[in-house]
Amino acid sequence: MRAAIAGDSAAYRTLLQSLSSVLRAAVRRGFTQAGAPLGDVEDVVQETLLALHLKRNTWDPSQPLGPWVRAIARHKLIDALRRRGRRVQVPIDSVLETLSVAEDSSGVDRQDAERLVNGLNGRQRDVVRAISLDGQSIREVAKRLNMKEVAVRVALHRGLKALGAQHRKDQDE
Amino acid sequence: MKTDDLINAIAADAEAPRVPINWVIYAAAGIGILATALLFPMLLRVRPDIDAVFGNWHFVVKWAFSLTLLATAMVLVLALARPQWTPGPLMLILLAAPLVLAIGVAIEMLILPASSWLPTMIGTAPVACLIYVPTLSALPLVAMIIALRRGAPARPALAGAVAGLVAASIAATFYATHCPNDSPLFLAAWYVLATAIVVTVGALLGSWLLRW
Repeated sequence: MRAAIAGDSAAYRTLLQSLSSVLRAAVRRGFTQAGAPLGDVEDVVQETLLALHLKRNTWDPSQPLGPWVRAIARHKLIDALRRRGRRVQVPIDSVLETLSVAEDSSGVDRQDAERLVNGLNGRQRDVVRAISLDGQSIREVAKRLNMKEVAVRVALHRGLKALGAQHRKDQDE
Repeated sequence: MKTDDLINAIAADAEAPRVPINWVIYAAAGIGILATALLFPMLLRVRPDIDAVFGNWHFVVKWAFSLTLLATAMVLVLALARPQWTPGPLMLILLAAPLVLAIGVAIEMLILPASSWLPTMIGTAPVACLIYVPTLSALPLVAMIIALRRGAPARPALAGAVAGLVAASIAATFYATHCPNDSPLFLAAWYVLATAIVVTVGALLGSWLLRW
């Protein structure tokens, strides 16, 4: 995370990938214990990853990373279960220690996330899609969409913020 | 979108500026103080005998109360802005300001005859205090709420309430230089009530605007 905050994308990706498998297992356990359908697990994992990214200014680099990640994961999991009308009694700290699980590739949540990306406005959608789905670098996207690199960075950041906000709005409905 | 794809997008955004939440909150408090300093002379004037009352123990208690409240509420708001925060002993520091006030009230009650307690408490302008302290709190409260939206408070309503406490203490510090009622008895009744109003508004705003 320290390297990531210094702007090292490769280190950040590695960190997020290892966190995502831990989160996936934890959310799955939480959903199972609360008796919620597992179809939305990936959705909550994604929402948590977005929150970790967008709220990373609340992590104090002089403190250990674990408790902070657990707090955000707990917040998002409890929130997700509450919105799905479940009573929440999740000892998530133990839950978060569990093994990694492969990504659930069943269709429903995938479509849901797809819909969220489609809900972004034009430029943000193009940029987020190009970088995430096609795995293009900021420079490639800038060239292809005929934008300045700075503009691509801004559109990407705003797009991610909007995605985080949409998760909330979506669940409020 | 696959999670791995989302991770690509997030990783590409690694360079996005990240302003530590503490700085954001300090900046908001600074802006709140500055905004109140600008608004105050437009609405009110500093009492003419201000030089004379500075050394007066009544006035010292007024500022000691509001500044203690400001310092303790700031410490708490900095902690509340982070997701790991859970209710704990740190909350006890909020007792510091009421303690200062209680000592002032006790001394005042020893000095004054019981018959003048009530008139002193009611003072000359209780309603003005209830109007101006919340009014002067508005800008700092907005600044604090905006700052906390950059944070990740696990308890949004509580974070909003403590932001209200910060705002009210800034307002009270300024209003104290206008308000001609200096008795701790007046303070304990009206300043505290005015603060409670701001804290309530802060809690409502918090539960509405600080969820994430």
